[in-house]
Amino acid sequence: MDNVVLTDVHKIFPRRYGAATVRQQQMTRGRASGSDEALAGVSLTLAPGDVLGVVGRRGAGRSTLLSVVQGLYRPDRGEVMVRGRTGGLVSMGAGFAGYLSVESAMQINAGFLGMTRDQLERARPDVLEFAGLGGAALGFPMREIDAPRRRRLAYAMAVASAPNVFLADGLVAVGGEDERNACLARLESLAGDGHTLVVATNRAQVLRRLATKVLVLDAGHVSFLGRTAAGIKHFKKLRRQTD
Amino acid sequence: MAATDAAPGLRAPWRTGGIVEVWRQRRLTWLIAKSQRSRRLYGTRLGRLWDYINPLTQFMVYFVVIGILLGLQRTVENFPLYIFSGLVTVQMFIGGLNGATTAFTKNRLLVRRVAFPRQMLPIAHVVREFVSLGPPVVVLLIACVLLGWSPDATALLAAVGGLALISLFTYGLGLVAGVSMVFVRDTSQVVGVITTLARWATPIIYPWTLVPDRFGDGLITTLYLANPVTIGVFGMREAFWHPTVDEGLPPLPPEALVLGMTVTVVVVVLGHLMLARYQSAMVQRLRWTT
Repeated sequence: MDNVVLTDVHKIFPRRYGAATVRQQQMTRGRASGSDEALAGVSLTLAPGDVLGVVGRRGAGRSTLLSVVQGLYRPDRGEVMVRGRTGGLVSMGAGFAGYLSVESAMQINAGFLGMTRDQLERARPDVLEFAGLGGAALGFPMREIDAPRRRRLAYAMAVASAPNVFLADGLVAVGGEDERNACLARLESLAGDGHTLVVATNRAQVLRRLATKVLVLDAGHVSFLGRTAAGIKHFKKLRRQTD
Repeated sequence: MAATDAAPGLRAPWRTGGIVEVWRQRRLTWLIAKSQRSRRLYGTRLGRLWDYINPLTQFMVYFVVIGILLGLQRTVENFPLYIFSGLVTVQMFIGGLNGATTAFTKNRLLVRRVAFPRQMLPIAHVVREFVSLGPPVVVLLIACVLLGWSPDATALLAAVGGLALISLFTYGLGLVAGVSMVFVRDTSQVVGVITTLARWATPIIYPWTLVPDRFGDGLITTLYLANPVTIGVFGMREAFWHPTVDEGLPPLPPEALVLGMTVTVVVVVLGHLMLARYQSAMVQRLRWTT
C-alpha cells in the first residue's frame, strides 16, 4: 500500500509561458543543453512512514517534483498517483491576510490545508501555544501579529493539518534552536504515524535526521535514489564534479 | 496520460475534484467570500454603510439625469423602482465579473502554492456579490411595500431564476476572463469594455421595448434579449417593479429565455474547458512572472 507512486514522470515547461523572464533563465541554467525538461523520467514509490529527502542543485527539478506530487502540475508524460491528501509546509500560511482576524485567518488556512472544523478545534491549543499566542489574540488583526509569531502560526497549522503525503520545499523548521528541534521532532512523529514525507533540502544535517531515503536530481534526471548516507555522499561528489 | 489500474485510494493529485469539490468545501468558499468583503471594508469608518451608499448614489445619478432631466420618468410608471431593480442586478454582474477576472492574478500565492479547485475563487466573487445584493434589496423591498407591492409566487420565482442565471453567467464569463488574465493582461481592458456595455445594453434606464421599436424583431433584438444579464433584469423587474404598476411592459419572449440559458451553459462549459487546459500552465506562469 504505497502512498506515492511516480512512473516515468516527465515535466516540460514550454518557453511560451514566460520564456524571457530572468527567473526562468535562472531555473534552467543548471540543465543540460538549456533543456526545458524539468523532470525527465522520474520513477519512485514511497510507503507509509517513508521520508524522502530530495536533493539537487538549483534548477535540478526539486520544486517541480514536489509540485507534481502536490497536484499543482500535471505531468506531460508518465503517471503520478498519491493516496489521501497532499500538502503541508508547501502550503504554509495559505490564506493569511493582514486584514483578517487571527481566528478568520486560521479558519481559511485550515480550509486550504484540508482540515475539518473538528481537526482545527482539536489542534487549536497546540497551534496557539507553538505560535506563542494566547486565546485573546484570536480577535486581533493578523497585521498586528509580529512576523516570527505569524510564521510559527503558519508552520504549526501546516504540521497540524497532517496530510497523508506531507511536502516541505526548503523550509523544514522555524524559530530558534530549541524550536527547530521541536519542529523536526514533529515531522519525525508524523512519519512515525504512517504519513509519507517528501522534503526538498540540501542540508545534510536535516537529511540525516529525517530522511529514510534520498533522491538526487540532476537536470531533471534521477542521479541517485537510495540510502540517505550514500545519497548525501553522491550529491557532494556531483557538486564537486560540476563546480 | 496512460490509463492505470490504480490501487484503491490512489488518485492523480492534479485532479482537484472541480465543482463537486467546491461544493464539498462550500464552507471554505464562503469564508473566502467573507474575507473578500472584509478586505473591501477594512479600515473604513462607515463600514457596511457603504453597501447602501454606493447603490443609492448610482441610483440618484441615474434618476436625476435620466428620469428628471431627460424626462423618462413620465414614460415609465414608478420609474425610481424600475431603475433601481435593474441597477442592482447589473451591478451584481459587474462586481462579480470584475472580481473573477483578477481572482487568479490577485491570489497568485495561493494558486502557486496550494492545490485546490480553482473554480472556488471566481465562485467566491459571485457569492460575495450575491450577498452584497442584500442591503439594496432591503431598500427595494421597503420602496415596493410603500408603493403597494403585491407579488405572487411566479413573480418571486422569476427573480430567483433571473439571479441564478446571472450568477451562473457571471461565474462562467469570470472563469474565462480569470484564466485569460493570467496570460493576457489586456483581458482586464476587455472586461472594462464589457462592463460598460452591460450598463447600456441592458434595460436599466429605458424600457426594453425601445429596442424592437427602433430595430424591429430581427437579429439585433434577439441578441439583445438573449443577454443573460437582460434576462436577470427582467426577472427582478417581474418580482419588484411589475406588481406595483397598473400597466407593465410586455414579458420576455420564451425563445429569448431559451437562447439566454444556452449562452450561459456554453460560457460555463467554455470556462471549465479553459481551466482544465491551462491549469498547470497558470501555476507556471504565475511563478515565473512574479
